[in-house]
Amino acid sequence: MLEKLLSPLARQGTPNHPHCAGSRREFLWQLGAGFGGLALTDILDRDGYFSPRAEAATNVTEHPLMTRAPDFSPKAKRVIFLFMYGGPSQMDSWDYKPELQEHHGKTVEIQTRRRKKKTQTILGSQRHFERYGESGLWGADCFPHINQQLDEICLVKSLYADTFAHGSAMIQMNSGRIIQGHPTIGSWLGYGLGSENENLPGYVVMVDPRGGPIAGAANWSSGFMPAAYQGTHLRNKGEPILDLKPKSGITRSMQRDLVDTLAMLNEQHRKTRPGYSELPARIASYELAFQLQMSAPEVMDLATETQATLNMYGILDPAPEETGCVGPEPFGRQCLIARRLVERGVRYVQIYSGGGHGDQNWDAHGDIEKNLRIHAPEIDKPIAGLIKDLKQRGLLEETLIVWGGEFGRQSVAQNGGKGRDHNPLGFLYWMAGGGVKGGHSHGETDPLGHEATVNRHHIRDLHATILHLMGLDHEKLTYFYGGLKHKLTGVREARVIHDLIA
Amino acid sequence: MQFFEAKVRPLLAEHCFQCHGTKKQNGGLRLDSRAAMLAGGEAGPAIIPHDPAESLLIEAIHYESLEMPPDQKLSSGQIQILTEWVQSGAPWPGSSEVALVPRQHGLEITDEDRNFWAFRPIARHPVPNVPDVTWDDQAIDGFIYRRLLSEGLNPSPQATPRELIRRTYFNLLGLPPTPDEVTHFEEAFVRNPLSSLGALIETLLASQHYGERWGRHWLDVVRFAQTDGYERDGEKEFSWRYRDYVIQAFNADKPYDQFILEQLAGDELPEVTFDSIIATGFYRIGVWDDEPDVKAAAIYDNLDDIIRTTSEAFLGLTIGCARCHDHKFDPLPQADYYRLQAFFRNITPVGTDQSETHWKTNPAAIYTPLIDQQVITQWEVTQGELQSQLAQLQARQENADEEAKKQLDEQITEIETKLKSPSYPQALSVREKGPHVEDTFILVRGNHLTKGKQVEPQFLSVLGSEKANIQPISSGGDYRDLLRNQGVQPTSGRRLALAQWIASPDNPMTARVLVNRIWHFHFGHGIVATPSDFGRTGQPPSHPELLDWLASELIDHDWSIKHIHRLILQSNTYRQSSQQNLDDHHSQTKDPGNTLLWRQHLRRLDAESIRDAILSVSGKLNPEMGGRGIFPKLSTGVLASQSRPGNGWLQDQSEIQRARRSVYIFSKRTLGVPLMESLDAPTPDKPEPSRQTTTIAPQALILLNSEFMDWQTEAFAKRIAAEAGGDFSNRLSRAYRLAFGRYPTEQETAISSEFIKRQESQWASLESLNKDEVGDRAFIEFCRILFNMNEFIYID
Repeated sequence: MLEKLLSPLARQGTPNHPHCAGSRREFLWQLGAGFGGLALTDILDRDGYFSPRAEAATNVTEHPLMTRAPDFSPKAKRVIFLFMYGGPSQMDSWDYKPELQEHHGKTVEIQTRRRKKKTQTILGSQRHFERYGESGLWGADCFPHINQQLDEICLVKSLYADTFAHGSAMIQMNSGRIIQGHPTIGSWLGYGLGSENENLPGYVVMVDPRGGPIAGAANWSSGFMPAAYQGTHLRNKGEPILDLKPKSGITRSMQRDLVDTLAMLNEQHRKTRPGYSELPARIASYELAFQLQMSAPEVMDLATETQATLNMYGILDPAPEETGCVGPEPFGRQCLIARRLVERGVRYVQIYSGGGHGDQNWDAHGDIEKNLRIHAPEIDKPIAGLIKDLKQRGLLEETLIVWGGEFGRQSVAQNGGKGRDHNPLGFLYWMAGGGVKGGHSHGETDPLGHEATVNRHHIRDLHATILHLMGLDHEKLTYFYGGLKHKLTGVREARVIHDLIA
Repeated sequence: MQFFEAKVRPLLAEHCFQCHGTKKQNGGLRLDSRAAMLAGGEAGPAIIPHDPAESLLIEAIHYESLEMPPDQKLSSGQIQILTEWVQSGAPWPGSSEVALVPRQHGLEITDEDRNFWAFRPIARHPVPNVPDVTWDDQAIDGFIYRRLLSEGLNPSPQATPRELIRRTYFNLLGLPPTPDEVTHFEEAFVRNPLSSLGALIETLLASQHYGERWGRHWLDVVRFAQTDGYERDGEKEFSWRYRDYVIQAFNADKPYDQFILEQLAGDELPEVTFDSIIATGFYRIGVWDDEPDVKAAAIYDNLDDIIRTTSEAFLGLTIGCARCHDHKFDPLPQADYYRLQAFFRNITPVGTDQSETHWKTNPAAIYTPLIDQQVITQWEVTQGELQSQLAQLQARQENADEEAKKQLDEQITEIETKLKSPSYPQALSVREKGPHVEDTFILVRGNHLTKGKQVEPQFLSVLGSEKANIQPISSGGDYRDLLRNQGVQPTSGRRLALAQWIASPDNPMTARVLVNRIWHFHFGHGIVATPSDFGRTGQPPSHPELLDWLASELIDHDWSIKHIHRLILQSNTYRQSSQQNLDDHHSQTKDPGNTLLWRQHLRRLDAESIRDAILSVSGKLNPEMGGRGIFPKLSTGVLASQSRPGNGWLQDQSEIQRARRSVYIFSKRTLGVPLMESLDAPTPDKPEPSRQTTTIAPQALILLNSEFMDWQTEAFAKRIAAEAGGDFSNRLSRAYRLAFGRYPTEQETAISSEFIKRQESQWASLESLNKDEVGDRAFIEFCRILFNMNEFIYID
C-alpha cells in the first residue's frame, strides 16, 4: 500500500517527485505559487470603487504576481533602470552649456541648497562636447561609447525634484514620495502587471560592489504592499539569491529527495484538509524553489555568452588607472545579466552604479573631474553595449532603459573648490528603447544648466511616463492603504510626457 | 444575474464603454461598474437603483435630456432591457455592497453621518438564545450561532483537544506546547472539557510569553522600530524600553484605558511613573528624516505621523486623509485634522537646528531621566565626591610642572564632563516646549506656507465636537517635581485631555476598535475586517451586536484585555474545527471566506511564531526578556545592500542571545532580517493593523538553506538523540511529538524511515564518515523536513 505513494524510481531508491499524475511542470502551473507568490482571495480589481474595501478587507492576496493585463497596449514590457547613485552631473554629460564654460570662474548669485541664494563661483565643464549621430545631440567626451548611441536615446533635460538630501531624494526617485514607507516603481509594476516568469523574481536589484546606496533596502521596499512586491537583491558574488543552495553538504540529488519526501509528507497533511488552496500552493513553492536553484545561477552564468558580447559590454576591459575606479567589468556584467533577466521576462531590473559614500559614487563634492574619471568609464561601455545588444536581439523596442540619479549637480563650484553640490532644481534623465523617441531631446535648463526652465517636469511626470510606456495609467494604478487610494505619482497632478513617446 | 450577463452587459459594452469605460470617461462618467454608475459623472449619478424614472442613464437613452449613445438611439427593446435592469435594482455580479460615493466637500456633518454604525453609542444588546444545547457555553456563541442559523449555515464540530491546545498556545504565546503539555491536556479534556480549557487559558495568560506575543501585535499597530530610517538610519536610543513596556503591560493586563492614557499622556497624569514616561515613547518610534529639505514642512510631516498613528491605532479612523482636504468618504473635515494637530502642537521636535544640513537629535528634548529621590541622592553623593576630587586636582595643579599640569588638565576635564552629565537611566519620551503653546492653523491644501483659519484643540466633530477642557500641568507628584528640577518643562495638558476623551467609555470608537483587534488576532479576521479603518472605506461589521457586546464587556470589566481573551477562547465559536466539511456545499458556496465563522480558519503562523517555534522545538529558545535587542546573523551578501555594510548591526552576538524570541530582534528600518521579511513581517514605517500572508519560493529557500536553519536542524537532531536514545522509532516519535504534538502515522513512519535510509546511503558514499556520523547527518536532514512541513506552520 505504501508503495503506491512512491513513484517507481523512488521505490528503487532514486529520488523522484511524488505527483504521479501529470508532469511536474503541469502541477506547478495548476498551483502557481511562483517566485512572486500566492495567497487566498481574489481582489485585484483595479477599476471599481469596490476595490478599496475589498482590498483592505482581506489581508491576503491571491497570486500577487499573476500576470495581469495593462490598461492599454504597452510600448514597453520591461524596464532596466540604471541608477547613478550620488547624483550625476547634467552639465558634464549631455546638457551642453557653452555659456557655462564661457563664464567659468565668474561669480553669480545663485540658489544653492534649500532655497538659499548665495554668491558662488561658476564652474564650467572641463569636458569637450560634440554632436553625435544623425540627431546631432551633444555629448561630453567622457562617455564616448554612449555618445555613439545617442540616436537611440531620448534626453529629458528639465526634471526637478523636491529635496537636496540623498536619503529622501533616493526614496523619492524610487517611490515618488520623500517620506519613507511607500512602494517603489518596481513594486507598482509588479502589482499592476504581475510577473511573466514564475521561476525568477519580477523585480530585481543589483548593487555596486563598493556597497549599497544610502538607505539600502528602503530603495526597493514594497512599503505598505505585500512583501511579494519588494525588489530581490541579486548578488554579484557568492549566491545570487539569498540561501539559494544548501550549505550542509548534501548534493542536488539528495535535496531532490528531501523536497520530494517533504511533498509526500505534506500530501498526507493536505489530504485531510481539503479546500485550503494555500496548502498545495506551499507544496508547489518548494518545487519552484528547487527549480530556482538551477534557473537563478543560469541567469548569472555568462559562460554561454560569446567573446564578442562580453567585449561589447566592456567586461574584458581592464580598469583604468584611477584610484577608486573599478573599471567597466562589474557594471558590464550587471548590464549583461540585466539583458538575460529581461529576456526571461523579468519586469523591472534596477542596477546601482556607485555605492557607499563620497567618491565611491557619483556624489562629486570634491572634484567633478576626478569623480567622472572614476565613474564614467565604469558605465560607458557597458551601457552602450546594453543598448546595442538589446537592439541586435530585437529586444530594445520593448525594453525601456532609464538612466539617471536622485538629482543633478550645481553649475557652481562647491566651497570654491572643484566639486559640485547636489541640485534637485534641474537635472537630466535619459531613456532608450521601450517606445521612446531616439535622438530626441526634451526640455531645457537655464543657460548655466542650473535650473529647469523650458518644459519643466517634476519627477512624478517621469514616473507617470514610465507607467504609461508600460501600459498603465498612473491615475488608475492605485493601492488602497490607510483610508487612501495611493498612487506612485502621489496626490499632485502628474502628466505623461507625450513628447518623449515615439 | 443571468439577465445581466446575457442582456445588460453586452448592451453596455457595445454602446457605452467606449466613451465611458477604462479608456475614456466622457463627462467624468464611467459605466463599467455599478459603483461607477452610482458615483456618476459631472451631471450626477447615472442610475438610481429601483427608480428608472429618476435615473439619468434612462433619461439619456430616451434622448430626453442628454442624447446617448450619440450616434444612434437604442432600439425600444434595448431601452426596455436597461429600464428593467434599473427597476430591479441594477444588480451587477460581484458587487453586492453598497457603493462608496465620495462626500460632497464643505458639507456640514449631518445626522446621517452621526448615525453611521461606528459613530453610534455602544449599545449592549441582549445575548440571543441558542436553540442548540451544545452551543450555549458562552455569550458570544449566541450572536454567532443566531447568524449562522439565519443564513442557513451549519457550525462545524469541535476541534480535537490536541488541535485546541496547539491553537491556543500559538494564539496566546506564539509558541507550541511541549509533548507533555499536550498529553496532560488531552487527558484532562476527556475528564472535563471546560474546566481543563479554562485552566489552560489561565496558565497561558499568566505566562511571560503571552505579553511577548500580544505586545508584538500592538507594536505593528504603532509602527514600532528602533531606528529613524533614511540615510543615517540612526538608532533611537532606549526605544527598546517602549517595547518592553508594551510587553509588560499585556502581561500585567494593564487596563486598556490606562494603556492609552500612558502612551498619549504618561507625563501629564496625576501619578507619573517610570512606566508612564516610557510609554510616551509612542510619539518617538516613527520614521524621522534628519535631513529634510524644508525643515518647516518636516515638522508637520512628523506631526502627521503622530496624528495618523493615534487616530488609526486608537480610533480606527483614517483622519490622515484630511490633511489636505476634507476626508473624501468619512465625515472628517479638514479642520478636524488640525484640531487634532493642536493637541500635539507643543511636542518638542526630535531635531534641533544645529547644522546647515542635518538635524541633530536633541537629547535634552526627547529623553526623560528615570529618577527617584534615591537616584538623586546617590548622584548628589557622587557629585560631592567628584567635586572634592576636582578641588584636590586643582590644588595640585598650582604647584605642578608643565608636564604634570598637562596630565592634571586631562583628569580635570574628565571630571568636569562627568559632573555635567549625570548617568541616569533615560527614557525615549514625549516632551513639551514650555507653557506657551504656538497657535495652530489649518494649512490650505496641507501646505505649511499657506495658513488658513486658526483652530483650537477640539475633538472630532462627528463625535460631538466638544471643546477640550484643558488644564496646564505644572506640578504634582515627587517624580514630576524631580523632573522640573532637572529642567523638564511643564506641559500644556492638551494631550491628557485628548487621551481622556479617547480612553472614555463614552467614546464609541475606542472599545470597539480594541475588541475587534483582539478578535482579529484570534480568528485571522476581525468582526470589522479592516481593524484600523472603521470608516466608510472600511468594512462594516459582520456581527455588529457582538462587537458592541464585547465592547461593553471590556468597559464593564475595567478594560481588561485578558477578560476578552477568556470570553473568546472558551467559546464554541473559537473551539470549532478548521477542517472543511466538503460535503457541506451549502456553507462553502454561501460563505466561502468564512466571514460568519461556520468553522475555524486554518492559519499560517506569522514570521515571529515560525522562528520562535523552531527555536522552541530545537530546544534552543532562550527565554530572556527585554533590553536593546538581538541581532540575528546576517550574511555579508545581505549587509552589502547597505551603503556602509554592517553599519548599525551587531555582528558578534553570542548564539545564546541570538536564540531569543523574535519580538526582541532589533528593528532597523533600512535593514530587515530576510527570514522575517520573507514571511511577511511588515515594514515598520507605517501603522500595520494586520499581517499579509503570502506564499513565495524564497521562503522555501530560507527555510531550507539558511544558516539559521542549519543551526536549528542540527540542534533539533541532537536534542532528539539525547532525549530518545538510539532506537529509530523512539527518535521518530519524539521528533513528531516535539514538532506537532502527536505520534507519526504508519505511512509517515514508512516514508520517513525510507528517506533516512536513502540519505544514509548517500552520505556514506559522499564522505569518509563513520556509521554514527552518517546516521546523524541523515537525521539532521529529516529534521529539516519536519521544520518545513505545512503542519509545522499551519495551525488547525
